[in-house]
Amino acid sequence: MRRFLSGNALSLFFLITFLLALAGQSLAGTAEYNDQQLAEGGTPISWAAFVTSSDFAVNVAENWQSEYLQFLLFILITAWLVQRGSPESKKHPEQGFSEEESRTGRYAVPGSPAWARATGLRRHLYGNSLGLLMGAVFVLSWLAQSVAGTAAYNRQRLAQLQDPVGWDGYVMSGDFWNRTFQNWQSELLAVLSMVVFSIYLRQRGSPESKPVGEPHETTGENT
Amino acid sequence: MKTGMTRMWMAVLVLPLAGACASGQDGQVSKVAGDFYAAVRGGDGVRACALLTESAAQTLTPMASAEGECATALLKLRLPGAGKVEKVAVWGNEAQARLTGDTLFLHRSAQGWRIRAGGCRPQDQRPYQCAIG
Repeated sequence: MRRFLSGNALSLFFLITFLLALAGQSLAGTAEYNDQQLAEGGTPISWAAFVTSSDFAVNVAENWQSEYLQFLLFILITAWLVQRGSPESKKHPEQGFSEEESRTGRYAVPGSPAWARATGLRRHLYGNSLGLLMGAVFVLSWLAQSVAGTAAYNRQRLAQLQDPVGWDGYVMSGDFWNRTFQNWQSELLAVLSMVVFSIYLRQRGSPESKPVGEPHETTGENT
Repeated sequence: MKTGMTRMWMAVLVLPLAGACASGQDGQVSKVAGDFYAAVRGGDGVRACALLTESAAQTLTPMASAEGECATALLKLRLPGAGKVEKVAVWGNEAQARLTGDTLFLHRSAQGWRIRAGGCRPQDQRPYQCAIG
């Protein structure tokens, strides 16, 4: 048990803090929703009613889609583009694509995943599985944002004595794109900061950083 | 873990749809809208006022707690002679009922659906202009 915990501490830390943050969002969200209801002459609702509402779902989904987009882009773009001096970058754009470098087919090593040895579609799928999963979760989250957003937006419009809109009307609305772009810009800024700051700054012991004494010019050195 | 994530995603995708398709609520909204206009047509202002939200009743008279004053003020409005309910839209705790001669906005409280605004006329992009609410 102890071995399991120490061997998976990184994942467990983020899983627990994710659940705590989600719980905090649900409590703060209920309070904010009920403040708004009272201001509009409406009726406060329970925590259980709020966490199953479209208002909570759209707020969760809009953040999830942008986080998965961030990682999708980070995974895909770093396969093609280089940033000299960054530990997040490859040394050359061509690096890592060959069978030998990717340890696939006859270059597979003992312990390589079975699909890395396979041929055709299976190897292609497994070779892009991380990006495919991140992309699928991004698309589903964005879709969930649009569906939940339609419901939350229409609730608000009816409370303001306006006609509701359809899903197609909502995805063309300022509310949908404002929620989308405000999340995208912050995620893109965070990636930019990580790529550039890690050229010049160090974090001792972190695999996300170059070793403290590594020259600024060294690219792709994060171990 | 995989099952947990699947359930979480199902919840995120399905719950809003469930909220959007609150068809069970449509009938209740239609009934309140129909009852309201039946009371107005029958001159029963007290019954019609009982179907308004507190804030809507207060727009009719500052002394909305006095049943008689709300009823009198409501009947004096000469609301359009609305007929049957043509279309209902329910989103969360808010709803809109389109009748042949009027549009009503409703809010769901602990007492059930109540009319938040009535005698409403559309104004392009701006909110409806309403005689009540």
